[in-house]
Amino acid sequence: MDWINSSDSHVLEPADLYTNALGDKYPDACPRYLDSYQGVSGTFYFMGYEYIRLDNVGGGADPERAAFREDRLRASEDPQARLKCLDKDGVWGEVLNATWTLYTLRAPNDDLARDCCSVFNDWLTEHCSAEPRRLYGTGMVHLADVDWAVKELERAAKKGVRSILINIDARPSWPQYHDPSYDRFWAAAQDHDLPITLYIIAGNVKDLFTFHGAERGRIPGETIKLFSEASWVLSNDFIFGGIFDRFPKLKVVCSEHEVSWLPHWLYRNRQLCDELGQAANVIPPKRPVDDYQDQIFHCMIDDTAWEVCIGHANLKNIAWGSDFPHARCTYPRSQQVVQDLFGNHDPALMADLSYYNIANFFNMALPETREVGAA
Amino acid sequence: MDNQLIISSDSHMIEPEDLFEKALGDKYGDLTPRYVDEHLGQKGKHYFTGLEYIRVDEIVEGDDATEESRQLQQELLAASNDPAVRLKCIDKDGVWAEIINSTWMLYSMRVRNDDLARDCCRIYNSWVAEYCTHAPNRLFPTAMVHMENVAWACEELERVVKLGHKSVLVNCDTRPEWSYYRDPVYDPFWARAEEMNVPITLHIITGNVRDPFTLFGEERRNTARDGLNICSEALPVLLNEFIMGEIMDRFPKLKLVLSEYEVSWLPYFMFRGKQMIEAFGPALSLPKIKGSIEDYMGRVYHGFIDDTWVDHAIEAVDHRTLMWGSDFPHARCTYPTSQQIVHDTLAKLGEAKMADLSYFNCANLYGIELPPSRAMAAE
Repeated sequence: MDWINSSDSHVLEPADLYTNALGDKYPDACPRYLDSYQGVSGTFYFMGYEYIRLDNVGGGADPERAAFREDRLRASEDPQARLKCLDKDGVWGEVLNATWTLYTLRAPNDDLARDCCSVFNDWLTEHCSAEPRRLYGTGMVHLADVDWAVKELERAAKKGVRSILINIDARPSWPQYHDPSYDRFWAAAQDHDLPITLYIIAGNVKDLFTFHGAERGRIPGETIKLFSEASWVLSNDFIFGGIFDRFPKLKVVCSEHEVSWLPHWLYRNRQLCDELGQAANVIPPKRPVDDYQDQIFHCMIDDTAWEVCIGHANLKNIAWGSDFPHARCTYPRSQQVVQDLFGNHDPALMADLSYYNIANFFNMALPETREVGAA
Repeated sequence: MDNQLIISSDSHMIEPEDLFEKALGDKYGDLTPRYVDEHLGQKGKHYFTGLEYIRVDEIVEGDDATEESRQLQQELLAASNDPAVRLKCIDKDGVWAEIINSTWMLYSMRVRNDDLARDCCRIYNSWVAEYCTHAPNRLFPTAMVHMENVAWACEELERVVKLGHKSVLVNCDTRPEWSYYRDPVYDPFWARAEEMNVPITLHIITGNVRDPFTLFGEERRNTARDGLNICSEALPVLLNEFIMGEIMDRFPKLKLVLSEYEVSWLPYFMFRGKQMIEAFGPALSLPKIKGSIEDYMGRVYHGFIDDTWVDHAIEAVDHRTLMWGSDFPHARCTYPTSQQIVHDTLAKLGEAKMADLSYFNCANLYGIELPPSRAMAAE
């Protein structure tokens, strides 16, 4: 068995992380666990804005997934428990994103969102320091105030985060990301060689797990929008809005959006540069659309249609991730999932997608040999 | 290249300049859709839809840049007023038949005055039906039906079928203040469409997302965002309302046409649809539906124009649900090089599939009577 690397894993923030750190500063708004919501008993997490029922996120009634729930919960509290899970799953290194703080980026109280980012970044870097060769933390930065965002990026970089996750889209009340008021932030990310992560949930579209009662009928449609949110921002702000032109070494990671949307998205972007864009008097970006693909990295989990990317997308910029320890995560059968996804292709391509691409992108420290247990 | 007749599943009519003013008189005053000579201080022919403004030269192929381009635009505008001119154009382009959607009426589905929207639908439906009677075996109109009032929508559906319409185009999404399409309040409409074997068309522009051509000045900076949005607006509606909202379970013979959304998104949509039905749905205790994503998508047809990766789509869905269209006479239309574009786009699929996607699939869906031979007449 060969090691694989996960480009997209998570921590579940400890139950008392924010209440301990923030005390009474935001009495009712502080993110925390609750025993019921809207009269329904159960464990809920309040993110400072919305509520999530934990058993939905943890795998619901699926007995196979429920059996490993304890493993997954322990792994988030204790890095040693996490490493045991990784070993069992044949995963060498992981890029670790937040869970609850993704939702807190949607909290209307900007001070709360900023404080939670700082608390999270401190806690995460401490968590990852237990095994820095294998755990690569993604810091969180709320972009309502660019001065603060630049300072927090620099602080988090010093603490050792390997990428920075921002609100996936600017709020309607903010300038859009192509506005030059954000340029200092993109410049700082470029200077520190910190990729910017665009993650589902952290934008303006409501996540499927936050729907309750009758509004659950909207989940399928809203989820399609949720998974499209990054594509709008990549096109409108980073490519056509000129961010990539102004910061040609800036890198963006598009995480948990899967990848089989890429050929259609590229076609639509090219169309905006060609006849349709000309008809609409669109100002084209400085370079051909395909050139910008080298600045965008994509994480996929179990996209069964990923092969449509062959011949269209830069396959060196795509990497598998486990989504550990979330409900749809591939643990403890990640090796099998990777085999099922990529096994009928050239072994070198499979190795790239499941191991080398993300290692190269984040400059991961790899073991001397890929064989699990060889060391 | 051996040219063969083709059929356009998605062509358009440019409604005559005075169509709505003439029919409505002063009933809606300044709200009446009409041509105007300037907008926001910008001179030039614009169309006021009853809500938004559009520069005509951005919508209709051709412009004032060269004499040739100016003549092309005049020819295309004339084709909408005179069916004989239109038939000459499609003969020249090797197009045997066309499914004809509106242009300005697509935008007028977004007006805030529902009475105005309904009146415009009726006027348009009557006018386009009359236009198409000049070549009833080649020109097939799609009626416009505003869905705010379901009883009215049912009446109009009955009326337009009698007028000869082959399909009805509804708002591609419900307005925020309406019930969602899955609500049983709409069921009489889906039921009647199913009984009469009339496909329901969802076309870009008619929903809640603003078309980039209606943006002016600084707003144009958001063309990429709005363009991507408008070109995917029907996808959540398809999954949420028609599939998981159980409309297609309640009406198992109802057919849908997604027009001008292209098709290379289909592999991704099939993956997400399956994930929602088989994984997220049970985890979130969503209502269980009867079929698989493949079952439902067998009744969803797709109009595409020049999608370079149709080959990916036919790996994801039944190729008999995919239909080429020219978008005639819009700015990105394939006229007068439709034969070449069909060849460039579809030849890689092999002759049989190319014939299906460019001719037979559309004919089969709409029951179009075909000429004895597909060979193009010599010029």
